[in-house]
Amino acid sequence: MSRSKRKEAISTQELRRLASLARLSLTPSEERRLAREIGEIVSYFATIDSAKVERLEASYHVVEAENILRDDTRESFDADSILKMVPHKRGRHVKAPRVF
Amino acid sequence: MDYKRLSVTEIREAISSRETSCEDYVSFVLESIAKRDKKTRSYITVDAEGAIEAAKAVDAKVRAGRKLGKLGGLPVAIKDNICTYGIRTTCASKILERFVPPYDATAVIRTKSEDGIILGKTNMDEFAMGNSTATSYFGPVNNPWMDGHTPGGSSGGSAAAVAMGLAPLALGSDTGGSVRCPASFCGVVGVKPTYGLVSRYGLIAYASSLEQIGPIGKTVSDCALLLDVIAGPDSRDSTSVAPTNVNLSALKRELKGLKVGVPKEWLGEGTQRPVTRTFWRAMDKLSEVGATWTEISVDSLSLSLAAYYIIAMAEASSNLARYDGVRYGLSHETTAGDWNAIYSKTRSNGFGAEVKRRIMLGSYVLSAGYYEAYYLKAQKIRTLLKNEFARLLRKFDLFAGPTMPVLPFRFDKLPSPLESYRIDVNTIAANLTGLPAISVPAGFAEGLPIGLQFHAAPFREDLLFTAAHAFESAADLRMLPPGAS
Repeated sequence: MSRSKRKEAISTQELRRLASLARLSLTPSEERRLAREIGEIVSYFATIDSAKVERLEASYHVVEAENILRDDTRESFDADSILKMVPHKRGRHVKAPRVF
Repeated sequence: MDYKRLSVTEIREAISSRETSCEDYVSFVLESIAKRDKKTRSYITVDAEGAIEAAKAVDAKVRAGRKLGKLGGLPVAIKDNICTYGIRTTCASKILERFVPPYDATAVIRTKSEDGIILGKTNMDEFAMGNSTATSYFGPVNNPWMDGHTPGGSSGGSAAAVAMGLAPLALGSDTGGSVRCPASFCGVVGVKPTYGLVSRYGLIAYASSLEQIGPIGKTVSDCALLLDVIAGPDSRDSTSVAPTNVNLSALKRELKGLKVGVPKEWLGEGTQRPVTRTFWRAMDKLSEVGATWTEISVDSLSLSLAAYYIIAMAEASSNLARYDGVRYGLSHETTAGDWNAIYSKTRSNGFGAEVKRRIMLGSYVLSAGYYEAYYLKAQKIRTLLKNEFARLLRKFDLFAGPTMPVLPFRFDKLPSPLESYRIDVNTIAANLTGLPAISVPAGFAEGLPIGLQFHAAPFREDLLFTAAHAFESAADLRMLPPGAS
């Protein structure tokens, strides 16, 4: 893999794999532009290759998060104000595309 | 009443002493917006009706002889990625163009409960991804100081509104400099609080481990006032923490004995000459009021920008996966068809170019085969930077540098995506490490403002405010853009 050497666009195949991971359907002109831009940015990202950090722990967060439990009381939003936002409905049910 | 000449504190006093009414002042601000925001475009949505109603409630409270909260009837503009009950919250994106939140963000609840008046929602880069507002679906914000120039971003609308007198106070959010960059470019003050000081509940997530809501105002004390209102632990955000050492009323302390480190990496080769000149003049001023400074090197800063973007994009790709067009937001015209195909069409139609770029890059760095080389390594570099700053904080009280290495640029000369990432070089360290930071106006070049930035130890916002306030008083800049009120 020539990750650290790459200066040019990523392949169309790789771009389409990313688009599918990101759940985007791109037009051919978007594909051409993004392949170039992503290639350039990824090769910039490779500047971290030289970092000697193997022994360090990763900092996923800067504060020590602890579990906070709220009182076990019911909190709810007004159903109508939420249903008003739903794009596709049947009655008071949310309609979604089929998954299978 | 001639509001133009009054400070925020004076206006608040005039309202509580019934010298003027809150309604009169809020009407004045709303009229200013109606007259002048067509050109600036700092607002996406103005809630004139709600603001007047809230102002009347404040006036009733005053007449009833009740004590007002800390904001005492002052209006606040809210960045459009912070949820406001019943007022649409778009993130400047087509995908949320018609989204009306069924709840208020904690920062908004706290603003209202201290008698702040919500004026409306300010323009920004789409999903807070950018430093120019050029990516807003509603069109970019114009820099108050010069037509055709960026106000900075992503909280460009909040900063421009404050600079133009279209809001005395505003909230922004800062993921990699998004409060400080526009504060610098618009000639106002902006604060990125210590990570955890302000609840993120109701802040529409972009990169959760990096971002904080922060205040924008004309002066350091205005920002201290608003931060005092919104800060504090919240059971709805498990990363919010109880502040241990925040003393926001210590603005008058002098700077004698204050030690400031100036990382040479913050004056790197991309820094424009007028910025460097203004920065060193500012440091001279700071010495005059008692601080001492030393040039230092923070070695891991050179790796940090790439690490920052890897982490931010990874978090973005995960956070923005929720926009599926099923429960809210833009949706494909039909639900007939396969889930993934329809989901992808909705998102392709609803997201702008920069958002697409970032979620694809985020998918890339998180995907099998790349995770360790990019994402994991970036998180380790974050540890390296955090440790390095922690060590330096034993010797220094503050770190200073120019907020932005460049002057506000023109919209017709926008940098390429990668070039635009590079100009965040001085602001991202505060987000990676969680340290608090402030940008305060330092001077002008070519008619455009330049900002001075300080970083401090966690929860030492008091030191940021003290130094910035001492500098602001010594520099005594008259910051009123043409046509402002």
